[in-house]
Amino acid sequence: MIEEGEFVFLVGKTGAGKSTLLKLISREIAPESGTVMVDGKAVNKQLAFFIPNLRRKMGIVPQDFALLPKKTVAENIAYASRAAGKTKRQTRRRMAFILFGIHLDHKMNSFPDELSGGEKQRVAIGRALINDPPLLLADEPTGNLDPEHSMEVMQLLMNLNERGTTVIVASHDMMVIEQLGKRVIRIDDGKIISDTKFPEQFANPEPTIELVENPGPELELFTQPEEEDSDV
Amino acid sequence: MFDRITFILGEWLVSIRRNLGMVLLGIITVSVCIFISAGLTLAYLGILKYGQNLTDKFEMRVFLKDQTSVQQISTIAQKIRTMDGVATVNWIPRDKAWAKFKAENPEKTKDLDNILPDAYKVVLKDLSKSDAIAATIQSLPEVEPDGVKYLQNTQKQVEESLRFLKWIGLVAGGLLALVSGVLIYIVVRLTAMSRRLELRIMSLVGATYTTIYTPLLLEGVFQGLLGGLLASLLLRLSYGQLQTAVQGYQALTGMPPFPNNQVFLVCSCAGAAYGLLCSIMALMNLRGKLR
Repeated sequence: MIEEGEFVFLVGKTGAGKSTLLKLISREIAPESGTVMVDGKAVNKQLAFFIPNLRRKMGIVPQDFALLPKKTVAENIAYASRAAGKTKRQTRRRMAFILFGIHLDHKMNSFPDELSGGEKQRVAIGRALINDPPLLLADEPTGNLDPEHSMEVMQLLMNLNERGTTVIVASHDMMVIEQLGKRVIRIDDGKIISDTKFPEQFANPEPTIELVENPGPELELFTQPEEEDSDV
Repeated sequence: MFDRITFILGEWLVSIRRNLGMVLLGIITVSVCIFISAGLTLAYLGILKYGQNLTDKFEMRVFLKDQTSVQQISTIAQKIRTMDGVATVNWIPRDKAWAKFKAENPEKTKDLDNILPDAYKVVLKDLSKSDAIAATIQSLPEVEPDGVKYLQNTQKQVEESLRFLKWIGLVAGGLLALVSGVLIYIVVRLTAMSRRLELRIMSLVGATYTTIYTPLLLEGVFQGLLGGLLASLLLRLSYGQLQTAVQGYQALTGMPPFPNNQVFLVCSCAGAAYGLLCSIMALMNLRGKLR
């Protein structure tokens, strides 16, 4: 269970299932068993027709930035905004706000090739914010960045979280995770092996929060009521 | 709404530009397919109409045995009139026929007695029923053996031409339809693959399926529609050339005017519908991959 307004890291070695969990939440894939709940709704049981509506309630930041190389920073964000159904006017209005938020207003006319890794990642985050989503999913946002740019991106995510956005980050960048001191869910081989608040209990392999048995009224991201273990 | 339409149309134009060469190839193949199919259909309809028009001129002669009484002649005529496909039945008395024949061939008929039997002139409404009508009349006892004469060969030729056109239309049209369908399918798939990143972004930010797939569907429709229009134009030109050629032969009657509106409408709609069908098929199993 992840509650509304939380900042959660999904940690685990490569192939542990971090990205898969994010894809389950965003309904890019469907689980073989169990249920994925977002905002009280079982997303894996929703008809494909409703997936776009679900995605507009969440911002997704892919690992590879997924930026259009022949479009500028502003055009990349505008393109996504227009695709998501916003009018030109709405896009223009939101654009300034987003560019200011990701600190790239001075580079709005630059092409992705002219940006650093951190800046590209910020554009990807900016693009994920076009729907002003209450939930942000970031897959290895610091995977290709140096420590300085990693902290820059994380700071941006922290700022969003402080404004009320629930943020779930899949990462194996322990240095950054240690510095931020947020909730950490460790995954291995598709199973949750610990759920701790860093740094006090991180070393403790025993889970401190039961993902399955905590039926809070808040944003319930995923539960598996039919199963004893915490398979993801 | 207008904003949405402009976005979708913009995406469609980008898709077209992305694989312009393949798009052009698709359009040409569709146009050749529709040109041949529609051309054969026009020829088929033309021959069918020609066959139907022959009816007025198409006479069947029925020769009766000697000693058939006037009463019998009247009864048989009545019977033939009730047959399906028969327009009119007229009795040709042997004396009248002989007088006419003698007048036309005085040398050959000199010193000869009347050798002609009583006969009917039967005009058919439906050429395709001529064989059945001839067989029924032939079975009448008053009719001479081998006493039904008609232009069986002409009718056979018309029927064979129609059958040939039907087959060639089905085979050639079918093969070309298959080729053009595969081309449209490939072009739409290629476009979707080349725009994978855009489609992924659209999918990530919650673009509706209409926004994501309409530009790709429009691409198929565009190829089909343009192919149909091009085929109509080619047909119009070919028909014009044929009309000019036919005018040189006095034996042939003039061709009817080209059915402009119908051909343009049918070809365009058929092309667009076919393009839409092919692009839907191309996107059907692609949807899962792009999600």
